[in-house]
Amino acid sequence: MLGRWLLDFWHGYVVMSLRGERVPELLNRATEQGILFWEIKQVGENVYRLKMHRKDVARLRALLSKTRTRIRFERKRGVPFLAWRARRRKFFVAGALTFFISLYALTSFVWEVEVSGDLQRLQQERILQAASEIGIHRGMRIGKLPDTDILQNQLLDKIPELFWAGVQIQGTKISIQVVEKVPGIEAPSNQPQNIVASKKGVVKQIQPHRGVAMVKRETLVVPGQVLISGTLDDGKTRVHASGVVKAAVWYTSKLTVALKTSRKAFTGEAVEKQFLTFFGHPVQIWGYGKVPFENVEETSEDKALKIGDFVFPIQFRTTTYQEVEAEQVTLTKEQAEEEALRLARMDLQGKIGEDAEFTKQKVLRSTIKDGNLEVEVFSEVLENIGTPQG
Amino acid sequence: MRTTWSQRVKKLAAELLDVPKDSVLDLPRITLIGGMQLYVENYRGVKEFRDDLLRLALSQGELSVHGKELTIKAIFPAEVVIEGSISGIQYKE
Repeated sequence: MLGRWLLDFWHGYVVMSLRGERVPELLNRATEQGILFWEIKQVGENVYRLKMHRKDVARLRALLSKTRTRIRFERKRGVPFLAWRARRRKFFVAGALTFFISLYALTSFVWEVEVSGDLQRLQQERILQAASEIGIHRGMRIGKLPDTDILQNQLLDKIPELFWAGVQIQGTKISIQVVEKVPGIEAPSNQPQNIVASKKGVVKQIQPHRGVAMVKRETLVVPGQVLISGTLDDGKTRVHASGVVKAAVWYTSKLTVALKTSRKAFTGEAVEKQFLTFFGHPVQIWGYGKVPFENVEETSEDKALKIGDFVFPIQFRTTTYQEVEAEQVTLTKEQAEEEALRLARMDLQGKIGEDAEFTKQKVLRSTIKDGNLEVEVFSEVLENIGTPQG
Repeated sequence: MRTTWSQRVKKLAAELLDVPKDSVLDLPRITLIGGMQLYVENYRGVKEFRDDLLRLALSQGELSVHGKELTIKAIFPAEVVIEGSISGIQYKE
């Protein structure tokens, strides 16, 4: 029954009323010619309402005058009539088509790439970078991507530190799950070796784990000097010497500190501008006009519309221009020297590592030249100078 | 009713071969489902149609269907389907 109705709807049918004394005769003659009618009802004296196919109407017309029957169309239903109406509303149909096409187009691109997994040693950016190289990035056609198991293998090839990678396409989002390899614990080496000094310094502490300590505390050692020997007392047995040798090492750093520095300070004055960003391209919508400050600091804040995990590519951006005033600061010699010590410490810490311990620090010499203070800083650092040598 | 020579042969054949008489003898087959639906096969046209009475011409005679809110659900050259609350069927040779 539904199938019949769908078929009728597809071909188009009309609801019409026939008026006349010879309607039964008309029905007979039309039926003989193969015209189909359905749901014929009497609605009044000599008035009948019925349904028939659109294509049969022309054939029926010829019979109307022969049977003196008058016809009145009440409803036109079906696809041909809809299509006819659609042709008159071109823009409406164009809009509907545009909607479906753009919906289809937008859902055939990758919109978001998500990385999950317990990342200990690897950076998420590294995985995203590798994924991008094999084609998983925003804007990629989903249909162009190979199968997920191929992508997974490609990802494993790109990042050898991965133990497993899973790639899942969820609509317009691609989620990548990774499991890192647990790095193998290196087996302790048994190669015979000595521990030698890497720097010149005064030994303050020596703790051999294996091997024989060759120097005493408060001894000055030079680079290359054996600190812990792998050759045992018997003079024959060679072992893998290890241990910690902490020594005071001296450094002198030459620095230049500007006495006059400028510092930025906010005055509290600010103006705002509003933008809509389309895929990162900003289009200003509010706050036109020049920024009335000479020195400004610009900060932007983006607000994105989200539905679930989906972030719309159109975002609202507020940019704030804050007025700043440059403030001149003049340092005294003492302040500049203090600053020099701090800088020297930072510089050394960067070179020798966090575990270094500053035991002494002082300014050796300082001279003012061209508005700058030229400083020589002496630092004594307690650090591990032992280094293995085969 | 005058029976022709050919009709007599057909009737005899139908009886001997045990086939339904309607297909051989050009007789109407009328199926009534409850009081709501009536199928008439092998009819010869609509003589009168009102919402309380439908008269169909048959190869011999006519069929009157009485009822209320009668509707011709579908009509084909050899078959008609009637719906409504049917209260009586009268067969006239």
